[in-house]
Amino acid sequence: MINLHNVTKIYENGSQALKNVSVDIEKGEFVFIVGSSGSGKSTFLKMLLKEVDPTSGKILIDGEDIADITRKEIPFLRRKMGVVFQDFRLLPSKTVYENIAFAMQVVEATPREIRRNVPAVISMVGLSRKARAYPNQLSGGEQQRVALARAIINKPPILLADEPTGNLDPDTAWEIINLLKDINTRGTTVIVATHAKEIVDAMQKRVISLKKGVVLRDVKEGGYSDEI
Amino acid sequence: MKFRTLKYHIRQGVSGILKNRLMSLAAIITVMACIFILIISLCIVENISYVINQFESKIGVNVYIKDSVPDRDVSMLEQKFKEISHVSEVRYISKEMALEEGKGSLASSDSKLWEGLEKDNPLPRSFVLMIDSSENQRDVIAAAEVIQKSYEEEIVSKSVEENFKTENVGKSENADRTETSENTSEETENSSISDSSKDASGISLEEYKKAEMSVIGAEDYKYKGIYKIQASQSLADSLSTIKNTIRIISIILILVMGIIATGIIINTIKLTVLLRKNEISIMKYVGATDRFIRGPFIVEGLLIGIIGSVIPCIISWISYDEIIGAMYNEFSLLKRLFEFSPSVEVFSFIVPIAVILGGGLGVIGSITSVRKHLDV
Repeated sequence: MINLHNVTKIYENGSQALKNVSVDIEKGEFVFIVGSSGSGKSTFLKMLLKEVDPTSGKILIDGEDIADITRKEIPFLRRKMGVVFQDFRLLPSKTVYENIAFAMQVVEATPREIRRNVPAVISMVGLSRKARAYPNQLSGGEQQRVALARAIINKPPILLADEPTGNLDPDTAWEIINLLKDINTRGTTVIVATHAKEIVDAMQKRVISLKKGVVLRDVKEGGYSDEI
Repeated sequence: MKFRTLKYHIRQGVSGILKNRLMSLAAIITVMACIFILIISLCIVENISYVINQFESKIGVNVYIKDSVPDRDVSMLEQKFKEISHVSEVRYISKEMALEEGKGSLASSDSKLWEGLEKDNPLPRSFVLMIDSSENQRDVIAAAEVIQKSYEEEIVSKSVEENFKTENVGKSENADRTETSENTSEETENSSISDSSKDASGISLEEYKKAEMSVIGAEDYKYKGIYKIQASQSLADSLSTIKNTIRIISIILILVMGIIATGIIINTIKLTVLLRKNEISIMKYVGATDRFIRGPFIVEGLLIGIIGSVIPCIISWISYDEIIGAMYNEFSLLKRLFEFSPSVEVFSFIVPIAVILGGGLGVIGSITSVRKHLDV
């Protein structure tokens, strides 16, 4: 589903974010990308979204080389991926319902589809009672659930999460991780960039460990840092 | 684009304005200020050219007719003058009208003077040829002179024809006629005429005419029909110079104002867009196309531009009438000299320019401001 071949990224200021990274991720996988700040986790995700282009190497998504995608086609690439951020990125002027419906309006869904799908997703993330609330009336965990709901409302085959639990307390973090697990069991490929050691250790999923832009370790079912 | 999407864009655009009230207001006021200055400048330009047109309509070419010209020829001449191109109107001024006009312009002076004149009016009949535009005055004068010449030639040839006829009727009157011709023509020519008249029965009308016409010099044409064509060339010239200058100034004005306004409006809208940078980046992540993201901002810019131009249009239209009215009241002499352009005329020209410019600037401002944030 996602294939990186010898991907290198050097930013204009000369800093090398990724060095010769080659990774293959299958459909339906749950993958943690771990590493300290500056290890290249974010660059990895940004390249999948074609927010930044690799300096060299090849990225295939669904067998398609994303270097061939024109600027105009980028939105359609992004519709294959839902994204969740550490800082939630909700629109403060819209209610929970509107924030989620917004993602459907953007892809020009019919009002009927919106009325049918949005409440279903809201109830899936357990926020039915807060559908009319605004983001600033919600806790961090609740906001991240809204963001998750927004990310999956258009049923993308891939879900990217950049430090989704970074701003949350441990209990709430687990709620979010469990939701991600749920989403994964329904067939969505989930890629989570994180440095939450306990979670990675407990989940025993595939772990790709980055350090200074190099893949240090790639294990099928592992913890945050198996001592070598 | 789907109708549903268009509806969404309009709704989002309107709510964008309402949600960012302060920024929207700032943008609207900016547009208003620019459009206001533009309207004021255009009003001035429009009025100057309107006043010039009034003066222009007053400059005509005066053609004075000799009293000896019969009435039927006068109306024939009028018809000919009307056919000159660039002549918008031909006004006939009879002797009585000329006298009245004279009295009117010299009302304060001695009225006894005029009483005497009424009995034996010395003023000639005349035509005033009104010209559509001052720069065409030369052409009209030239055309009028051609008519004058051909008419005078006609008169002369007619009188020659008549002479020819009378000569043929009575050869016995030969001597008398020769005497009269002696008075008018030179000595040498005189003999040739009398020669031809002696055997007048043998000569054709054409030959007689040819001979006779060559005798009569250019001097003799004068005072036969039209004796003067008069016009103020310098006034016409300066009016057309002023007109051209104003045309250039108004074009420069619109261009400069347009450029300044675009700059200011783009900057203001840039601020409103900046406040919603987040919203744009979220839209990008969710897979919105550039067109979809731009839509609401274009609606917003268009609305800001239209509101910002319609308001100054309304305000200035109302105050225009007030100001013109006040000017007339204050300076009552003004109305006798010239009139200001009526507001309907001015604003039927200004409103479309202002609204199109305002709306267009709003849209351009939005597109350029959003473009920067689309590269995510």
